[in-house]
Amino acid sequence: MTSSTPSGLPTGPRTVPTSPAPAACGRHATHEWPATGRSGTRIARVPESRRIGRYSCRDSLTCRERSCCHDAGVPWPPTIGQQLPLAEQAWGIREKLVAYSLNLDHEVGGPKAAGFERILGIVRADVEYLVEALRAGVLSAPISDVRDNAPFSVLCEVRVPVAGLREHRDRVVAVTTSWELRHADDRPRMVTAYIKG
Amino acid sequence: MATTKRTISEHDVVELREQVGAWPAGTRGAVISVYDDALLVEIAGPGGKTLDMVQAAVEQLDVKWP
Repeated sequence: MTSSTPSGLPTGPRTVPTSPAPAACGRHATHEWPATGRSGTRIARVPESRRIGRYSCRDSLTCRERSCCHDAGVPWPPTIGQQLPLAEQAWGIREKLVAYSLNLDHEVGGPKAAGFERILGIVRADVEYLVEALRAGVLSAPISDVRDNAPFSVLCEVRVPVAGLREHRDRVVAVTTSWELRHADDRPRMVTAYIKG
Repeated sequence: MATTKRTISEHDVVELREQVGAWPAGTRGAVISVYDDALLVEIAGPGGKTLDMVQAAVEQLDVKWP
C-alpha cells in the first residue's frame, strides 16, 4: 500500500514500468535497446538498470542537437548493417586520399598507399578513379563497425569493394573506410581508408 | 612573456607525450580529424591497417611531421 506526501505525490515502493516508456513527445519514435556487450555507442553503454521499456532518440545523449533524427529520416545513431546515413552526400574523399591514404611520402599514410599500389595497382595519379569507386560503393555497402567518438562524433566503418587497375583489373578487394558523423543529419566525411593486407 | 599555442593540423604526424588510452608515450600516429579542443589520432600498423583511433588534446602531442 502506498501513502501520499502533503504534495500529493505517492510514496512507498517504486513501480518500475515494464511496458514501453512513452516517447518524449509525439513526434519521436522509440527504439528497442541494442544488445549489451558492445561499446560502440553511447546508447549501448547505458547500464541495464536504466534500460526501462524502449528509449527515445529525443532522450539519447548521442542526439547532440536535440532535434529528432526522424525529422530527416536518418536513423541515429547508426548501427552495424545499416547503410551509411546520407551516403550520397559523402565528402572529403579526394582530400583524404591525396594527402594521406595515397601519399607514399606520409609516415602513417605511406604504408596505406603502398597497399593500394601493391594490391590494386592504384597510385595517387588514379585518385579520381578511387574517389568515384568509394563514392559509388558506399551507397550500397553496409556499415561494418561503429565506434563512439563522444562527445565529438560517431565513426562508421564501411568496407567498400573496389576493382583494381591495369594488371590488377580482375581483382576486387574490400577497402576499409571510416566515416565521421558529428550529429544526426551530418554529411559523412571520410577520415581514413586502407586495405587490410 | 607571450605564449604561443601550438597548432596541429589534419594529417600531421604526431607523437604521444604521455599515455593515451592503451598507447604509451612515444606512440606515433596521424591526425585524421580536428575538433575545437581535441584531435582524433589514427594509430596504424606497419601495413597501414588502423589499430586504433584515439582522442588527444594538443598538449598531449608533439608534431613530428611535416
